Amino acid sequence: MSLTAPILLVAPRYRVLAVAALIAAVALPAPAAERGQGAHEHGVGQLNLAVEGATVEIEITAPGADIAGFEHAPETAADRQAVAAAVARLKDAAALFRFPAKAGCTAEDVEVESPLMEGRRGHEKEHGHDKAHGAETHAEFRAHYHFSCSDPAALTHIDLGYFQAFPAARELEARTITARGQGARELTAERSRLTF
Amino acid sequence: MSDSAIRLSGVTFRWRPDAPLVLDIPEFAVRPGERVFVTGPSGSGKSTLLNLLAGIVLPQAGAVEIGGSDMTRLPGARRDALRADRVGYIFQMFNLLPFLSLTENVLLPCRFSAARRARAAAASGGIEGEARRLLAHMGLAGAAAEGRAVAELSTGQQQRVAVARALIGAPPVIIADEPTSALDADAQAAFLGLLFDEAARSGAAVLFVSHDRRLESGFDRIVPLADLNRAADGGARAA
Amino acid sequence: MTVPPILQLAVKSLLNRRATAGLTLLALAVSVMLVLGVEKLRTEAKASFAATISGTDLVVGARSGAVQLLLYSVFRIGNATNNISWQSYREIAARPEVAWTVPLSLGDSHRGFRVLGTTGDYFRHYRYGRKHTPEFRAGGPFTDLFDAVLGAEAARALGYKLGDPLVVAHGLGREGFSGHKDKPFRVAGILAKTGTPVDRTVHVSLQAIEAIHVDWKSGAPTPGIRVTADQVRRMDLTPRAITAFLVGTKSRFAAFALQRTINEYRPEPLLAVLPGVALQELWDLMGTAEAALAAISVAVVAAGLLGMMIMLLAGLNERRREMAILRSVGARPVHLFALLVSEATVLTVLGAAMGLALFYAALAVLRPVMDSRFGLYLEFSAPTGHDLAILGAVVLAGVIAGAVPALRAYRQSLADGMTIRI
Repeated sequence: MSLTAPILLVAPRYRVLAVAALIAAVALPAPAAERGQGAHEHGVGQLNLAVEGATVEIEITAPGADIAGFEHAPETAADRQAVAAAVARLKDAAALFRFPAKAGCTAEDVEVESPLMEGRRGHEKEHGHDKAHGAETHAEFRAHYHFSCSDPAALTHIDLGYFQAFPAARELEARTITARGQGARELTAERSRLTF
Repeated sequence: MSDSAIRLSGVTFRWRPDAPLVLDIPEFAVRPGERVFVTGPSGSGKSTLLNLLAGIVLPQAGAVEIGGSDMTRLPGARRDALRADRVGYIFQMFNLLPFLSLTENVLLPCRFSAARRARAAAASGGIEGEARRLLAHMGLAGAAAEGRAVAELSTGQQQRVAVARALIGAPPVIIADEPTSALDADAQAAFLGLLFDEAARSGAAVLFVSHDRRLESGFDRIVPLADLNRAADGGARAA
Repeated sequence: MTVPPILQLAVKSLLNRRATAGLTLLALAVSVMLVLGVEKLRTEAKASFAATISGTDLVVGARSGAVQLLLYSVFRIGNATNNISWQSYREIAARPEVAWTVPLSLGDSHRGFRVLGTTGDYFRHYRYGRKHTPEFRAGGPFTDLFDAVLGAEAARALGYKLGDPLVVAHGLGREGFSGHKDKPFRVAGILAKTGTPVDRTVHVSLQAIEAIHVDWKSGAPTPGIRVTADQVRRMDLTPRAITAFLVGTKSRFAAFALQRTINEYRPEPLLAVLPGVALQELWDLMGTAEAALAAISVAVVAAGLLGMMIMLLAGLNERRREMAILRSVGARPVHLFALLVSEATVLTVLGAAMGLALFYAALAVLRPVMDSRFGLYLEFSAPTGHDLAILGAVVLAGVIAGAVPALRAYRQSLADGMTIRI
């Protein structure tokens, strides 16, 4: 089917946008935030946040390299120590997420999982083409936080301490769902405030 | 040190360091209330003299005093303020701003000089009243009242408005630069009469610069510029 | 002692030159109007895009690009490269975290308007703007197999009333040889205006889409096989495939997990997108075009200000006498600087005010046209903070532009003094 006929059917107001969007959709690679779970780029993690009533749920998925500094299974005592320290930092919800004081948010539940952690071997993803890393695996950390807030109306933004806690991390692709709708933005050490 | 309205002493002026002297005036003074006619042919340095008196150009040497203050020693802004306060000017022609009314034209000096505004207000109980009084004395009460535009006035009438403007706020010095050259003989006489009347009333000294010796009568003193200026044939550049 | 008289002088001097000053003012006003207009179109178009979908947590379709999926499913721009199977749809719809789904089937048209096959849930769960569901201006959702519900613009443009018959064309061309003439629809409902693509859509049931295609094969009627409308009513009209579907989840956070689940769905390559996030990506893609548009607006204003600067500069030479007179009555060079800056300020303030007035006048005239011809509803609203910031920036730029001739007047008055050159 030709592309032009459908474009003519589009409401005129969208026509220019439609052409541009089609070109963009065809010519450009899939945008980052929707790249899904297959993507694994060192320095770049994902953050999902949902606000529902008085609860805030946050999930961070990040490469092991960002969090612990390596992605191979821990071999030495030093490796294991590094993982343990990283997990401790990842579990420090109060340091990672600074809510407006007025909102009165406290962490009720924190879970961290990673194939690098003790007794959790398994689903590391192999990237055969990734010669530079040789036999390394691309293990990820996944952390889930559950907050409860006394005044959800005061919940206007969150300042992230993530980039201070994990200097190897460069970017978080944040996606948010709140009563005001969905949003996406890229967070970095310089722009570490998530507003919604 | 002097009680002169105007005093020049040891003034030398050249346009550029390598140019010949245009003015070299050892001494020249005008007493308060004195009416002095400075004459000289075109190019004798009259314009340069006027610029010196206005503080627009500065001499290389000497002092230019207006009411005892030496312009050459004042910073630019103070020179401008001194001129605004103490000197009323009348030019050859086109003295007025065409987009202002006659009264507004007369009031212009009061906009820039607090001293003249204060004196004008004191004279007639208000600056507008003083402007109307001056215009009436110049025979322009009707034109002003009717709201006539500058462009609707004859040259003679325009020059009389300029006199009113130069005189408002009673500056101690009036400098007139060929103010009658565009007027016919009758108008010239009438113009000088009005100028002298008003100057006498406020006690202003009048420095009248012209090449036209026929206007000499009525002045206290006639000074050929060549007598003052030792750079006799200088001034080829002072157009 | 200085500012108000100087401002007065500036105004009177400008009035004295009203021909050139007027033209300069007009140029400034038009440029300001253009900037405000472009800004209005840009924000309203964006707002109308953003308002098209709200309250939907996920949009699911065949695997392609996120933006592409959003465009064809919600905005009816472009086409799906692939359909998704009814079975996959049912499996996902049955998942516990799913609160509701709305299936969408696209591909047919009626006289230039797209036909959307869906279910009655569409009118309950599809939301636009601030979470409004589409309202019925007349009639109601489809009850019969061959019922159609028209968007406001489709009904208006085609002049349909309740009960009128309509014939759906196959594919997206105009009515031609391949119309589904044997199975006419009846207008059962007309929706109120939404300002979204819903206005230009003809809605029918999923079964109806299936019904008009029962005797078609690969885009053409199957020779020798004719199934009448009555026969069709007795057939199993469960669709085999749909184009996309909208999903509402029971909790917001579940949307993330469900998205992951759908994107990893094994039986069929599916793509689930968060519409708000995909829209954000669309803005990012459009960013360059928007920046170009903004740059053009800025250039237009710059041209207007440049015109003003030229007018003031060119005027300086003719105004040497004016300057000399002002100097002789006591004005200092800094006063002349202030005079020129005041003139520039007066011109830009008036230009901005006139531009604003022109903008509203143009808005009043063009609003109905934009609405009916382009489906773009322009709000008649007070200037936004952004508009005021633009106006402020224009005035500020004008004052700065005025400094150039002002500086020249300053220098010129120092050099000329009171010597008037005739």
